[in-house]
Amino acid sequence: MKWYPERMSEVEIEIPNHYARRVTELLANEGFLQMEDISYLHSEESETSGSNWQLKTNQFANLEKQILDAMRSLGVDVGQIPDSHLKMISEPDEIKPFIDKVEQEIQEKSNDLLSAQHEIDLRNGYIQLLSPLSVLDIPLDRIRNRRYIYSVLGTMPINKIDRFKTSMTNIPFVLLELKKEGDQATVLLIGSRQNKEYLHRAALSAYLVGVDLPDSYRGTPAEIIATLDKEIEALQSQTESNSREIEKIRDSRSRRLQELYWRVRYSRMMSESLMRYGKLKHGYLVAGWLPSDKLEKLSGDLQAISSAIIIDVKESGKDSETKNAPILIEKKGFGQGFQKLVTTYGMPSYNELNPTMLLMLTFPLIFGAMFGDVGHGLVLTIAGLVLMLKKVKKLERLASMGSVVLLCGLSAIVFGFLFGSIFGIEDVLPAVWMHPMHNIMNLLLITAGFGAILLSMANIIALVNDFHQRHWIHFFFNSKGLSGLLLYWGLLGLVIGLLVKGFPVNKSVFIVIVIASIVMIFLSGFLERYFEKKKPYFEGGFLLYFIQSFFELFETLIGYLSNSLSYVRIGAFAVAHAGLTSVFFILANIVDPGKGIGYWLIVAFGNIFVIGFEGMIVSIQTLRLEYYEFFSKFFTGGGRRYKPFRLAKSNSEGAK
Amino acid sequence: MNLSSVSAYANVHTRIRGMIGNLLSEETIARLSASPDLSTLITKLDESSYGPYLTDSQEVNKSSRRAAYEIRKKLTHDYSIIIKHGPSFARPLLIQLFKLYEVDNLKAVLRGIEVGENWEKIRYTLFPIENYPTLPFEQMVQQGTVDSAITLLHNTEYEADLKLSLSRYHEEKSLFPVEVAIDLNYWHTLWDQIDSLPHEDEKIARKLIGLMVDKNNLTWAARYRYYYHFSESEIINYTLPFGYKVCDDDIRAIAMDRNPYQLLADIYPAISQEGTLDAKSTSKWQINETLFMRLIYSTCRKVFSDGAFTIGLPLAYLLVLEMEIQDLTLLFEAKSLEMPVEQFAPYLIHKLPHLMKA
Repeated sequence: MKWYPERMSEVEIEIPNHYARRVTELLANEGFLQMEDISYLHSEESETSGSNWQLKTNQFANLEKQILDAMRSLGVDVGQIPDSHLKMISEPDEIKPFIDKVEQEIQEKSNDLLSAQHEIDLRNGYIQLLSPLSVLDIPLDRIRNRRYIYSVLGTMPINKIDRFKTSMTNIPFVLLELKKEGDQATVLLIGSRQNKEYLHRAALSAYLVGVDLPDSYRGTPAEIIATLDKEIEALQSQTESNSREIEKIRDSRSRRLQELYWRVRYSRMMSESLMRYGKLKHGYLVAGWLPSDKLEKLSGDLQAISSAIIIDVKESGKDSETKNAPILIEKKGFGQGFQKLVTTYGMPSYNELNPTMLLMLTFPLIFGAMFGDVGHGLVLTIAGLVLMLKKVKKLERLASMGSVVLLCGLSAIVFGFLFGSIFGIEDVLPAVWMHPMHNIMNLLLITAGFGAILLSMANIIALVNDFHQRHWIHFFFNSKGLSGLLLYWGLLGLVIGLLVKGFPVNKSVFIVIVIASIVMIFLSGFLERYFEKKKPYFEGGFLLYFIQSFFELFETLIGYLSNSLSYVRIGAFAVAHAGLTSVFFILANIVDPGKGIGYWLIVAFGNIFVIGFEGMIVSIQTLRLEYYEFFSKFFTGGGRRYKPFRLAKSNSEGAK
Repeated sequence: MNLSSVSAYANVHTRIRGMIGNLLSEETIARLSASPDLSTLITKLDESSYGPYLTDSQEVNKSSRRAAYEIRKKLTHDYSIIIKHGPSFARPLLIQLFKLYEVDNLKAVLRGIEVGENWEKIRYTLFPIENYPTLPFEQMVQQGTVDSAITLLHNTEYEADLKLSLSRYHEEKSLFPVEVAIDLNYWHTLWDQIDSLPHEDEKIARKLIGLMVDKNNLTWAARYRYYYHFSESEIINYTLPFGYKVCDDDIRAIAMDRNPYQLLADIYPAISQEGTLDAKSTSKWQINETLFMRLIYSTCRKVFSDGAFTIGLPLAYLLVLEMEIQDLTLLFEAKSLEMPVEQFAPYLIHKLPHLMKA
């Protein structure tokens, strides 16, 4: 973890036409240049080549989809990016016939498989309907297609059966209820063929759905079921044979498909990149950013391709030159969780201090002070370790936050010893420092002092940032600069001088400091315009400037006061933590004064509640103090993330 | 009088007594019938309890359909009040009664989809219940086909009926089996709900809802016999096995060619001799249907003067209000088509005094 984002260099690479593909391949394989879109730069002669890359991009994208679909049908995943350097495919037509062929093979077998499955389902449906009839030892034809008998085998809603019977009082019929399942019954309706039309319509009106068993099935129901079983068996073996065929295709084609997938994907990305290049008369122009320590390697590699490739490194000293530089921050390691908390607030801008290390120090410190308890801290420490070690699969996504929880837990343990508290029990451990409940005022004053130190630190960091960015007016005169810091210290000195008798420094010194810093803050707007030679120096006239400056100063004073008081909450929460836990002990005593199982159940519940609920509140409060009281004094953010051009590791990344 | 039923119904009865005062009298209906056009009719109606629903006069004046849509909101509103303030044991029945409009909407939406209408056209033919939990009608219309619209009704009470009748819809290319399945299931469910009521409530509910079922059964049977030419068995299967006075034998008699009007007059002698024997024509049977509705209307009106603390008053009020809205809808249509009073008066449930005198 570093205090500042990585140094970046801006480069422009001029590539003759002939080397465009090789350079693009090199850039993609090395994967450290963040390209800027400069496709708006083009000469008239280059129009054709641009549209050519557009066409190729579309063709590669279609091929990529085709391969992915084929792989999905075969149950093959895309695998890992090949270790060796990939080569771009010159023409999509080189590989299209192969992909079409594989697609056709899969299609044929898949269609066979689907149609066989449909036939199996159909026959299973017949069996389900016929199985209640299997006890009948007469051929189904004798019921179905008799000269004098009409019959319908099918299903109907159970609640329609009685109504149907009522409706048929004038027509002879038999309705056999063969099987009931859910709200449906399998029935066989038999009547005279003479009444066929009537029976058919009556059956329809009772929502009887007849089974359309083909005439080719002859014999008793049991025999038909046996025939159907045999057919299903044959279909199943056909399905198995088709599956084996598909497996064969998978075995023979999967590696080639995976290899082609990455090459096509790579080629598509190459074409897309080439589309974004600036077009010169005889070549391309690539612009982008890379970490400064990679510059030498890139130059060497480009020169190895051809000495005709020109690499131009832009000066990066001036702020205006670097304000667009992408930000590279190390995201791995122990501080990953804290880094995430920082980037949630904002991505540091170039030349701005990355506050992650400060956060690693202050966050656990503030949290621990508010949550001081050896037992509760221990629970959090274990939870942090579990997260970090990825022992619970469902919590793997939170692994990066493990270090945050772990440090907070350890800090809570330390403060637990200082406050003499373990699982809310205050009389087992001796308090190394003090019991919050017995020293409320002292604790509040100490935390206010701690707040003053943190705020001063924030102001000093703001000064360092201004120094780095050469913002001298800001450094000396801004309310968040030296003037603001002096004003804050002057006011603090005055307050301490008034409260502490015999304070060695004379109050008039602080009064002078306060007045001087107020004058400096008042003048900051004017000086900024004066040194930047922007007229008028008093924007909107002196009166408006005066009123504006007055209110800004007022806001600064209020800000310092409220920010300082805000830190008092650390003490307040330390007291609340002890107080809330003691409430559960009081409750436990009321419920079970004999300290039986009821007592310990309530104590256990109380501790779980405090760890879960109060732990959450304290985390939010800590984050609030960090974001609004601490970061806001020096951290502006607004940087853009470094996203180098490289072959994506995953599907979703590929689109970028 | 049972004290528990008094306390259960006191609140809702008080409210309904107030609402009854807002119902339109026969004289008012007669005055509205005399309006020269739709716009005048709406202006006159604006002074009644329908006024708040006719505020957007531009929209309402555009078409009789839109005006009817707006005034139906009063029925929805009154239903919600009665359901809310009614006793908890009566709520399932009242809610199921209200679902009749959801069923009607479902059928209208399916018909609209089948003929390829868009949502804007279908929307105002529906009953305005969109402020209450109902089916996703708009999304159904957007699906474009009956099959895909039905997929949106997964896990609803209509799913089983629709599944049951869908194969017939495909074979016959008609929504008839689908609509009948939905209707039969609705009325069966409503009738079963009555079982859970206390005895006195059950008695009056069986009478009022039974009258509605009788009207449906006779209308359906006549239509099946003379319009669809169905067999006896089909007619029985497509009608309901319960009701107030009409039974299976009566349905069977219609199937066997007994004149439905004669049958109706035999079962309900109170129906005057204004009906038509020519039941074979659908439009003429409508006159008989109106006579039956008048019978239900007068039965409900009698319930108003009955002091019993039962579900009778809420049911009677809701049925009367629905009939009033039916009449107003008829008036909207008649006025927009500039029909003379004599032509539409026989189809009004409210009798027009001057015609009675004539």
